[in-house]
Amino acid sequence: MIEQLDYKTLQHLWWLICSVVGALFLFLTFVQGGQSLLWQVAKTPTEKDLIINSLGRKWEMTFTTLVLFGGALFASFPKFYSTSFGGAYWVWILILFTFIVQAVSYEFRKKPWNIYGSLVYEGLLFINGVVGVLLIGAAVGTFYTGSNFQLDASNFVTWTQSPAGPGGGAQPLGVLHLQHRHGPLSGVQLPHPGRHVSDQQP
Amino acid sequence: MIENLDLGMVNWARAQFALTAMYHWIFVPLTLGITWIIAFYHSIYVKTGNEEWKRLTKFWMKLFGVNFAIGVATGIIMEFEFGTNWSNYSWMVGDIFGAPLAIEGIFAFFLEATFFAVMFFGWNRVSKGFHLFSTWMVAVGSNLSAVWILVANAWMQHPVGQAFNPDTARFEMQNFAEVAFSPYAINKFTHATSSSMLMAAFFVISISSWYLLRGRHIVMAKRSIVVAATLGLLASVFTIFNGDESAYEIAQVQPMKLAAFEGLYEGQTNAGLVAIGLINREKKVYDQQEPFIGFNVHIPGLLSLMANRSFGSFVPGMKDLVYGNAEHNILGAVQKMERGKKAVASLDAYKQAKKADDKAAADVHLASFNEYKEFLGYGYLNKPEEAVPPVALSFNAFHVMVILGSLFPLIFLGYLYFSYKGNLAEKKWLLGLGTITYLLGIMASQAGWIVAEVGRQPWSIQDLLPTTIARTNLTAGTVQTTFFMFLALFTLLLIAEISIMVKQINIGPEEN
Repeated sequence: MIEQLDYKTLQHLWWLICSVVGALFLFLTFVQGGQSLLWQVAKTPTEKDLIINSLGRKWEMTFTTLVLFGGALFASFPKFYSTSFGGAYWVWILILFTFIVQAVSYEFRKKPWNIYGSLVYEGLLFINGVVGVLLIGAAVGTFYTGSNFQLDASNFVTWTQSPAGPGGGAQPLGVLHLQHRHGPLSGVQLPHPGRHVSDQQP
Repeated sequence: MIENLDLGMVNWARAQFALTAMYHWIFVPLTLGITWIIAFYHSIYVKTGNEEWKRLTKFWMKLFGVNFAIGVATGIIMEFEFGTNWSNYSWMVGDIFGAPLAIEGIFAFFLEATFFAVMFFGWNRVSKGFHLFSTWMVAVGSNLSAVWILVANAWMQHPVGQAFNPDTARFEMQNFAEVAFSPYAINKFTHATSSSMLMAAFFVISISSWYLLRGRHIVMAKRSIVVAATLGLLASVFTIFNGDESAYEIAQVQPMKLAAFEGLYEGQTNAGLVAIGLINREKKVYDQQEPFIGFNVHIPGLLSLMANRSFGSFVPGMKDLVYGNAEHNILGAVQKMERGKKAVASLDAYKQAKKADDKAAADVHLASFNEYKEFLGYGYLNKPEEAVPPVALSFNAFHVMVILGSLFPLIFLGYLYFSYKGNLAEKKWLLGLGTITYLLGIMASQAGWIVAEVGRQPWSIQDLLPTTIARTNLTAGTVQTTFFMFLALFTLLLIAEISIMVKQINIGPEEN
C-alpha cells in the first residue's frame, strides 16, 4: 500500500505526523509552565518539592517528544532540517542548552553534594521554562515570517542576513526580533519536493 | 564554492562534535550496561525473596539514576548538531540517516521513558512480576536506542543500500534491510553494547572493591562482584571477538583506516601487528622517514590474519592506497581522484544540459557520471595525501584500546577465581587495581570512539562525501564560541555528577 503512495502524498502524511508530534510537544510543555511558575506558586519548600516531584515524572515525555520531532523532521524534510538548524544556529543551540540543563536539574536538585546548591538547579529549571519555550516559539515563528537565503547548485545554503550573527546569542529577544524580519524558513517550500529553491535572490 | 571553504570552521565543528560525542560516551556505556546488571540483581531478588538482594538492587539503581539524566541530556545535542553544524550532510543523507534517528525516537526512547518510572518507583506499588518486567524493559529500551544510532554510524563507514540521485544531489535509500542489517552495523552494535556491559561491570567492581578495602558493606560488595564479574567476563571475551570481526570488516571496506591505525605505510604480505612501538608523528606518506621511532616489535603475520583471515595475505599500506599499487591491483587515491573529478564534471555538465533542456546531452553526461559515481567523493579532494586520516592519533588510540581490551578478561577472571576461593577480601593488590578498572574501561571505550571516527577521516560518508563538504556555512568564530560553551557546561555538569556519585557511594545502600 505504501509503495502506491506518490512522493507528494507521502510528504503530506509526514507533515501531518510532524504536526501531531509538534502539537503533542506543545501540549507537554505544561512541564515548562510549571517550572516557570515555580517561584510564584510554591510558598514553602515542601510545596516546591511537591510541584517539582509531580513535574519530574513528566519531563522525559516532553524531552523525548522533542527528540522525536527532530528525528521526524530530519527523516522527512531534510531540506528544512538542514536549512533551519544551520541557519538559525544560535536559536537552536540555545534551545539545546536550556534542555540540557533541564534534564540534570531534576535529578541533581535535592541530591547531597550537588556542588551548586538547589537554588541554582531551580534557576536552571526556570531558564528552561521561560527561555527554552520562548526560543522554540522563535523557531516555529519563522514558519510564518520567512527569511532570505540562497542555495547554490551544490546545496550550500548562504544566509543573506543571518540570525546566527553575534547579537543573536546574547539576546533571545533580539533573535525574536531579527527573526521577525528575517526568519529562516520562507524559502523552503516543503510540500513541493519537485521544485528547486535555488537562485532565490534576497 | 569549494575554493572558499573555511577549513577552520570544519575543524572547529569536528572538535565540537568530538567533544559532545565523547562526553556523551562517558555516561552512555554505563547506562547501557548497568541496566542489564541491575536486571540480573532484580531477578535474583524476585527469585529468592532475599531482602539483601533488594537492598543491593536499589543501591545500584540509585547510582544508575544519577548517571541516566546526564546521558540523556548530552544526547539531545548529538541529534540536533547534524542540522546545526553539518547541514549539507543532513540534506544529502536525511533519507537514510534521519530514518534510524526517527525510529529511535519512536520506539526506544518512549519505552525507556515509560518503564523508567516504574522501575524506580514501583517498589511495593506494582506487582513484583510487572516491576521486574519494567526493569528488563529499561535495559532493552536503552540498548534498542543504541541500535539505531549505530546503524546510522555504520552506514557512514560503509554506505550500503543507497543510490545517489543526480537530480536532487542526495543519497536516497534503496533498501532499508540492507542498511539496518549490514554486517558493519551488526558488528558496531555488538561491539558497542558488549563493551558497555564490561564497563558497567567495572563500575560495579570499582565501587565494591573500594567497599571491601574499607571493610564496609562486605556482603553486598561480594555479591555484587560475583554477578558483575561473570557478566563482565562474558562481555569482555565477546568484545574481543566482535572487535576482531570489526577489524576484518574495516580491512575489507576501509583499508586506509586499518593501515592508519597500524601505522602501515608500505603494504606487506605476512604483515605484522605492532605489539610495542612509538609512532613517528612527523612522518608523511610521501617522505622516507621511518614510521616508528627507535625500538619496535611486530608480531609476524597477525595483521594479515586479522585483515584477511590468512597469514600470507597482502595488507595494503597507506602508500599503496594513496599512489596505487599495480602489482596487487590496488587503486590509489591518485587514480580515484581522476575518476572522481570526472564524476563531478559530468554531474555539473548533466545539470547544465538539463537546464538547457538538451535531453540527448544530459543522457550522455548522466551515463558518464554513473560510470564514475563510486569515486564521487574523491573528486572533491585537492591532494591525494588528503585521503590519509591522522595516523598518530589513530595508531595510539587503537593500541590503547587493544592492550586494555586484552587485559580486561584477566581482571574479571581474577575476581571470579578469588571469589570462588573465598579469599577475595584479602587480595588487597587485586582490589586496589579493581578500584581503577572503571577508569581503564572509560579510557578503552573513548579510544574506541577515536579509532572509529578519526580513522574515518577525511570522509563523512566513506568515499562519497568529504567532511569539508558536509558542513554548514558558518564562521569558525561561531562554532568556536559554542565549542567553549559546551565545554564549560559539560565540565560543570560532570563535576556535579562526580561529586553526587561519590557522596552516594559514601552513603552506601539504605538499611532495611
